Amino acid sequence: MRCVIGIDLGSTTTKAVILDEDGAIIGRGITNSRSNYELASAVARSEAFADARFRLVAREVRGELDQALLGRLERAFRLEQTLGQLGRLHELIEEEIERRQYGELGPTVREAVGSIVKAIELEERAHFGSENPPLRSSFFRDAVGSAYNRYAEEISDPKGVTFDLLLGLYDKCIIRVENEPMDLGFQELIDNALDRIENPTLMVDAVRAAASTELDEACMVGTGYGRATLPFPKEAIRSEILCHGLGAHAMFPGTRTVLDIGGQDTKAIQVDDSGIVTSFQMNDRCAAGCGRYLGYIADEMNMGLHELGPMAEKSTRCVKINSTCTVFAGAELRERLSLGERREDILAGLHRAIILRAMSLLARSGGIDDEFTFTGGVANNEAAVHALRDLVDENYGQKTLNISPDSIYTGALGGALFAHRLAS
Amino acid sequence: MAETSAAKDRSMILQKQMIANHYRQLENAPETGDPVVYTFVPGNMNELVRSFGALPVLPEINALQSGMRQKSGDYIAEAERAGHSEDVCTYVKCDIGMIKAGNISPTGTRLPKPDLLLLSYTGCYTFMKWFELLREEYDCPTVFFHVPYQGDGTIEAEHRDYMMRQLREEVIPALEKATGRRYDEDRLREYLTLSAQAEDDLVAVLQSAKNRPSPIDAYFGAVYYVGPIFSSFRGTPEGVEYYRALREEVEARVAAGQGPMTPVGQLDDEKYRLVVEGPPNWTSFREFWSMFASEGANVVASTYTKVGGTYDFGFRHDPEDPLGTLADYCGGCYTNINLPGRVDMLVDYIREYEADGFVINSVKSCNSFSAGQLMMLREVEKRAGVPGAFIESDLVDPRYFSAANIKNRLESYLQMIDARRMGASA
Amino acid sequence: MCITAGIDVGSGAVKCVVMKCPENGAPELMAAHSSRIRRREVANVVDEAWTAAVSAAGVDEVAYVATTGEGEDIPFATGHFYGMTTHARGALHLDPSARAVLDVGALHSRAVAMDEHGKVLGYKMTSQCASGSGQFLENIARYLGVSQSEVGSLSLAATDPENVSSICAVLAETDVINMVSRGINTPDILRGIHESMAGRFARLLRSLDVRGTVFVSGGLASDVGLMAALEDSLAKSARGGAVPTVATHDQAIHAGAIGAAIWGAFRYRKLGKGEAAWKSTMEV
Repeated sequence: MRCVIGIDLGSTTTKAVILDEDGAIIGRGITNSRSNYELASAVARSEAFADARFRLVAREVRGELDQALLGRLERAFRLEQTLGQLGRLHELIEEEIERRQYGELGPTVREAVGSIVKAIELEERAHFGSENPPLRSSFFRDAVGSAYNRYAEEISDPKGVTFDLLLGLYDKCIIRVENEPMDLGFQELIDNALDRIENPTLMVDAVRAAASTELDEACMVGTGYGRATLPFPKEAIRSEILCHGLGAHAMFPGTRTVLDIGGQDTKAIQVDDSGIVTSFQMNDRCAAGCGRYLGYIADEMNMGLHELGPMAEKSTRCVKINSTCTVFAGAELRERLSLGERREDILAGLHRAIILRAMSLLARSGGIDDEFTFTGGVANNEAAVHALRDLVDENYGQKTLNISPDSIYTGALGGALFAHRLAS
Repeated sequence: MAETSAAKDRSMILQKQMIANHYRQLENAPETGDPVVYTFVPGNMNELVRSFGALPVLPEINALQSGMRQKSGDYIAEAERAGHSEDVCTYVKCDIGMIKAGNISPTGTRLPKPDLLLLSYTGCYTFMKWFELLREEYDCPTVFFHVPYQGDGTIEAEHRDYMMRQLREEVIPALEKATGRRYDEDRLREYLTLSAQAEDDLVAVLQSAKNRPSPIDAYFGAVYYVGPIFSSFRGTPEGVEYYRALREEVEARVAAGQGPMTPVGQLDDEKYRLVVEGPPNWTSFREFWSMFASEGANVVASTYTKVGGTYDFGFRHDPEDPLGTLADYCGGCYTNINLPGRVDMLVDYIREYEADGFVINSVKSCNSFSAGQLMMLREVEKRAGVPGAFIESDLVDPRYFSAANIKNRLESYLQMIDARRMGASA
Repeated sequence: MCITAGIDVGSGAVKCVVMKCPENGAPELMAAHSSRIRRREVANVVDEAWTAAVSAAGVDEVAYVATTGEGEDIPFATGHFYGMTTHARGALHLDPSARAVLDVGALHSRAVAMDEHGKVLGYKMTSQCASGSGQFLENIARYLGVSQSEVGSLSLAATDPENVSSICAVLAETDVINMVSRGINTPDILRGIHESMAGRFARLLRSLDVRGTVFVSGGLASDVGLMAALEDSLAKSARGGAVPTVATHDQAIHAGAIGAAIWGAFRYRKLGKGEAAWKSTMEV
C-alpha cells in the first residue's frame, strides 16, 4: 500500500500523520521534541506506523463484538509499550545506583526503587485493563513521572532513602529513556499483546494480514519549527502556516479563519475555500500569550500544565490581568495571590489574557470569518476555549467554532496532504 | 574573475573613499576650523549647509552604521543605563550611547562637536527630542525648520511660502551666525545644479528594476545607492561621479541580462518580484537580505529608498528657484507623505514594477513609518490584488531581530504566493 | 551551650540546619538537610527536612527555631528573619572574607552587600524576570535532555558560546529552541545561558558597588559552569578596576538557614534564655 507522511516538528512536541492513497488518515504519532529533532521525528514516525498497523487491523474486523476485542488488543499493545519503557527505566536506575555507590544504603535504595516500579506497574495494568481508561497525557514521562513522584513521597524516609534521592535517580534516567528509540518493533509488541488477550483467532488473522501489508512510503513532507534541520529536500518542506491552513480545511472544510496557539508562536490565518492561505499574522519575537506562557504559570503555581484549565473553569469571578507579558504575568499572579484573590479567578484571568492577545492577532490578520477553527495544543485547554468563545461572541457575533480532539495533529495533517499532492 | 569584480565595484570603491574622506575631514575640523552642522536625513538641505562651507553630520547614518558594524547593542545598553527607556527610538539611544562612549564615528575617527543643530522637522516628532538631548549635551545653538505635513496629500502654496520664509528669516541667519559666512545664493545654485545631475542618474538606477531580471535589488542593494545622495554628498562633484559610475554599471548589467549581486551570489532567476515598505534592520542586514535572496526573492521597488526625498515622480532640485526647491524637497520626503499617499505609491510600484507581492518590515523604533502600516497592508492588498507580508524587527537594536521568526514569516509568505499561483493555474 | 535551628523555605526547596552556638566562640554546624518541594505540600516537606536534620544532629532539644524565606508560618518556629540578613550572616559564617552574597534561587535571584559583621549595606533583586533563576536553567536542561548535574561540566566544554537574550526568560527560551533547530551543540548553548545569567548577576552586583569576595549561595552554587561564567563576567564589567573574587562552599545551599540559626542564637540570648522551642518529646 502506498502511503505519504507529514511530520510537524514543533518546539514542544513532534507529530506524524500517515495518509493512504486516497488521502485518508491511517496513522498518527506524537512525541516530545526535546533537543534532538531527528530522533523526535523518528519516534513520531514509528509511533504513527504502529498506529497505522492498528488501523489496518481494524479494517479486517467489522462486528461490534470484534470491535470490543480490538479495543482490548490496542490497550494490551499500549500496556506492552509502557511496560517496556518502565522496564528500561528500572534497568537504568539500577545501573545508576551501582555507579553512585551508596554503600550501606545501596540495598535499601534498590529495594525502594523496586517497590515504586512495582506499584507503577500495577497502576499501569489497571489503567489499561479498564474498558474506558481515563484520559491522560500520552507521554511516558508525564504518566509515569507523576506516579513515581507520588510513590516516592509515600515511601521516602527523611532519615534514610530520601525523596530527593529517589527523584534524583528518576530525573537522571528518564532523560535516557526518552532519548532512546524503542527497542521492540510493532511485531514483538503485538505478539505479546495478543498473548495477553489469549490469541483469539480472529485477531491473530487480522494482525497477520495487517502486518504483511507493505506500507510503501511514497513521499514525506516536513513542517514546523525544526523543519530546517530535517534531512529533507527543499521542495518537501512547507511552512507550518500553510500546513495549519490546509490541515484545518481538511478537518473542517468550511474553515475560513484558523487560530493556532503553539508553544512558541500564535498564528492567525485566513484561508480560501480550498484551504489556501490568503493572509496571516503571527506574534513577534516575544512569545507572550503562547502555550509556553501557561507552562510558566504552572511552574509559578507549582501545578501541572494540564491542571490549569480545569482549575480556571471553577472560577466565579474572572480577575483582570493587565500584563500579557509572560514574565510580568508571573509577578502579577504573586501579587494577586498576596492580595487574597482566589487561584481559580486569577487563572481564569490569565487564560483570558492569552486569548485577548490572540484576538489582536486575529484582528490584524483580517478578523474572524465563519467557520472558525482553533488548533494547536492550547485548543485542548477548556478554559482557553471558554475565553475564546466569549471573546468571539463579544467581538464578531455568533460564529461556528470548530475544535477537533485531534487538533494537535493539524499541522502534520496539512504536511501529509502536501505530500499527497507531491506524490500524485 | 578578480578583474570583473574590480570593474563592477568601481562605484563601491568610490563610495568607500567618499565616506572615509568625509569622516577624516570631520575629525580634522577642530584644526581646519570648518564649521560643523548636525542635521537629519529626511529632507536635509545639504546644498545649503555646504554653501556655507560647513560639514554635515547625520546622526541617523552614524547609528545605522554602528548597527551594521555590530556596535549598536552596546551603545543602546549604555543609553539605557543612563536612564533612557526601552521604548525610546533605538537610533536615538545608539547615538547617545556613542556620544557617551567618546563620540567615535563608525569608521573609528573622532567626531567634532556641532556648531549648529539644524533641526528640519519632517514627520518625525522624535527628531525634536533627539536634538533637545544633543543641545543639552553640547550646549550649542539650534535652529528649527518646520516642514508642514502633507495631511491633504499636497504641499499647498502657503506651506511653501511658510517654509521659504523660515529659510530666509531663521535658517539662513542661524547658519550665517554659526559659520561666520554670508549667504551666497550663487554658490547654492552651483550645488543644486550638481544635485539634479546625480538625481537623474539615481532615478535611472532605481527604475532599471523594471527590467526582468532586475539588475539591482531595490531595497537591500539600493540602500547603498541612496546613501551618498541622502547624506553628505548631494550637490558635490564626488556625488555626481559616484552616480554616473553606478548608472554605467547598472546599465551594463541590464545589457548582459544579469540579476543583482546578493550575499548568496548573483540572482538571475527571479522567482518573486517584491515591493518593500519600511526601513531595513541594520544589525542583521546581510542575514535579512539572504533570507530573501536564498528563496529567489528580489526587491524591485521600496519606499525606504525615498526616505531622504522622492525623485521618481519628477522632482529635481532646481537651481532657478533655490529656496523654493529646498522647500519642495523637504515637503516631499517619504515620511512627510500621508497614509493615502503612501498607499498610492505602493500600489503604483506594484503595478509599474510588475511585483508579485509586497512586504512590510515594521520597525519597533519608528512610528513615522510603522503607525498605520497594518491599515496600509489591507488597503494595498485590496487595490493591487496581490498579498502582503508583515514582518517585525527594529532598526539597530539587535534584541528585536528574531531570525527564526522572520524567516518563518517570509518563507510562509513566499509559499503562500506559490500556492496561489498553483491554485490560479489549476 | 545553645543549640538552635534554621529553616529556610524557598520556592524550590526547604533547607534546614541545626547549629551549636557557644556564648564565646564560633558557631558550628551540626547537621544540615535540604528537601526539594517538587509539587509536594510545603508543610510536609518542612517536616521531612526538620526530622532529617534533627535526627542527624542527634539532639533532643533546640533552644530557638529560626525561620527565613517563606517559612514565616511554620507552627513550631520561635522567630522569623528576613532573607537578606540571614544570607549575609550565613555567607560570612561559611567564608569570613565575603562582602556580598549572590543568592540564586529557583524563581528569583538577589544580591546583598554587607560589612565584615554581616550588616546589610545594600540589597537588589532580579525584579520580575525569571531568566536568572534556577527554574529557568532546569527547564532548559530538561529541554536539552541533560541532567542538572551535567550542566556545569558541559558548559565548561564550550568552544563557541552562543548569545542568549538576557532581557527575558521567555525570549531566552525561544533563543535556545531556535539554536537547537539551527544545530548548535549543547555545550555552546549552555555556556551562552550561563553567560547571560552571569551578565545579569554582574550588573546586579555592580549596581551595589561590591568590593571584595562575592559569595554565591543557593543550589546553583555547585554549577561550575555558572561560577566560571560569573568570574569572567565580573572581570569584564570591572573595566580595569578591582575584580571581586567569587567564592562558594559545599554548604552554600544552606547559607540562609545557617544565618537564621546564628541570628536565632543571638536573639535567644538577648531576650534572656527561656523555654526550649522544641523538645523531641513534643508533637510538632
